Amino acid sequence: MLSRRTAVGAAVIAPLAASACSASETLDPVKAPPPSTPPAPANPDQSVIDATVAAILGADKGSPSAFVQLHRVHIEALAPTKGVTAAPTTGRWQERQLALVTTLITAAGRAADPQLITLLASAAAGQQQLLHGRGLA
Amino acid sequence: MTTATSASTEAVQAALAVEHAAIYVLGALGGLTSATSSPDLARALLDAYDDHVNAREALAAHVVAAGIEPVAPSAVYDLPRRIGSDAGVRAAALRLEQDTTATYLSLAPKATGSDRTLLIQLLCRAAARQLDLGAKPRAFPGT
Repeated sequence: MLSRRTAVGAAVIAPLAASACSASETLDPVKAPPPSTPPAPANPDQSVIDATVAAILGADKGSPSAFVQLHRVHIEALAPTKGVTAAPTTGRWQERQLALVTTLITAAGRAADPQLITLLASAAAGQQQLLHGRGLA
Repeated sequence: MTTATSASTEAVQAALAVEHAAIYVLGALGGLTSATSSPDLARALLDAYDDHVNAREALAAHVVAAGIEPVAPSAVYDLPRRIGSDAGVRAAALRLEQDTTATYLSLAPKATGSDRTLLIQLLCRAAARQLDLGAKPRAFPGT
């Protein structure tokens, strides 16, 4: 037998459960659609980033570890698309590393985002420093 | 002239003003350095001076090509204080090159086209000169 308080509570809740939470209208939490999350807008500079990283990776083949280590830092900061592979290159490693300064400057000239321009310009300067320290520029 | 072109030329003008100051300060620092007793430092200062003069000429040419009067140098600039020794001269020159590098880096995004390319090329030169004055290479000079 229900106590008086329980009986009153059940009487108040029952109509609500019947009208607003009927079994047919209750959403199955497993099947509920995910919250609306529109895809992130494409980065208009992504092609510049990926082409630059491909050039860096290509230039690094056979180069001294100091250059490879520097470029790891640069690539991490640039955040390329996963799976970017080295661009085909020719010539001696010194020539490829020198050409990379021009590649980075050209990329900075093509980029639209001011932060990316700054990043690429500074990376070019870092590359120039390393070359200068080795008497290559 | 469009706004973008105007902003780009202003960035080049700002870089030109920096070069005027750098030439003045490096001239003064060179006057404090003996080519006999400190040949390496004297050579580094002379190379830097020549580099800055070349940069000034290149920047002025860009401004003139845009149909604008290049910014003129000031009559006088603040000089580094309490230098006192070759080490002090070297440190002051290095600070100058570090400041120049940082300034070029801040100006590069404001410029477009060949103006931006020139600013980054000069940024690279300034970064390289830091090594001649005792700095270590960095991944991102100017930041």
